[in-house]
Amino acid sequence: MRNHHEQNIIKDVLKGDVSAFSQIVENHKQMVFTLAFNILKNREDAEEAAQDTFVKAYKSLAQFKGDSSLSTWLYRIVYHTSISMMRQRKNTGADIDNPAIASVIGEYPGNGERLDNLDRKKILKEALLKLDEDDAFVVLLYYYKEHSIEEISTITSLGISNIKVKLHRARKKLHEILSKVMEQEPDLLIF
Amino acid sequence: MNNTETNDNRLTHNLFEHFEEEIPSSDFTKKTMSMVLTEWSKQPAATSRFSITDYIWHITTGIAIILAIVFYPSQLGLDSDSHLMQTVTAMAGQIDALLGNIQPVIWSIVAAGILLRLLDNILRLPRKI
Repeated sequence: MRNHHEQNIIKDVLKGDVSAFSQIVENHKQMVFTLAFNILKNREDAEEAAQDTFVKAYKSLAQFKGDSSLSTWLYRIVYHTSISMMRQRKNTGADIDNPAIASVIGEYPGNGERLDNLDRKKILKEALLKLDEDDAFVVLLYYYKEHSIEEISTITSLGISNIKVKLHRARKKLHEILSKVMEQEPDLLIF
Repeated sequence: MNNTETNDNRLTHNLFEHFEEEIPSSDFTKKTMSMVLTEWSKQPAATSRFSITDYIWHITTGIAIILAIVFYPSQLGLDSDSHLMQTVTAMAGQIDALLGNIQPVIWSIVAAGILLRLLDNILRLPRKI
């Protein structure tokens, strides 16, 4: 249903109703920003990358053939935009001093108290920020958006074997990060 | 990676529910659309339509006017006794001799030009200014 609706929006935009593009922005801005943030590890940079993504999407909208979903197409753009921005700004990876990823994990000494759902999400988010950019991006697409490995390969232009390696590596690292305080939260040790 | 499938089976999707990050700017969409509109304004003016019928129309109209003046000056209210019209009339005879059998062709071209012009206005063929 949403795909059909978005196809209509795209048609309207291509006919000249540029304001209709705001619907596409509204529908996808959160996820686009989230993906950018997990690569760039910086909220301001991620917002800029997200905006660039939508502008690029608008400029090349006529080339969108519809053979993939609009979201998949957008994720591809945000991935390459963010990676490019990261390389330009020489961001070498998770920065422990970056306030965006200031560790909250340390506040949870694993004293046996179960965490509420919000805390668990927060910890997981921060653990993801400690991963390499590509790894975090792949994890989000695989586990959160439930894309197949083949789809992720299309989005990132990475090989399937490469993606499997990244998933494996990310799971291992997340397990290491989370195991210290998550003895009481076995669900978070699924990695 | 043999335990991949096992780990995936144990994955609880609700961990990632509502996992999206909050965008710092509350007016993200507005700012983004402002950038989009800037791009939109950079686009060249809508390509003007090009129509070859314009050229045919101008040519055939010119031919029609010339022929009308040459062969039907009285009907057009021109003074056929004036020096200019006498010269034109003399030329008409020569032109008529020259055109000979191709006169029907010329008039056909004129008619075709008029028809194409009418069709162009109806079909709105692409035109370049």
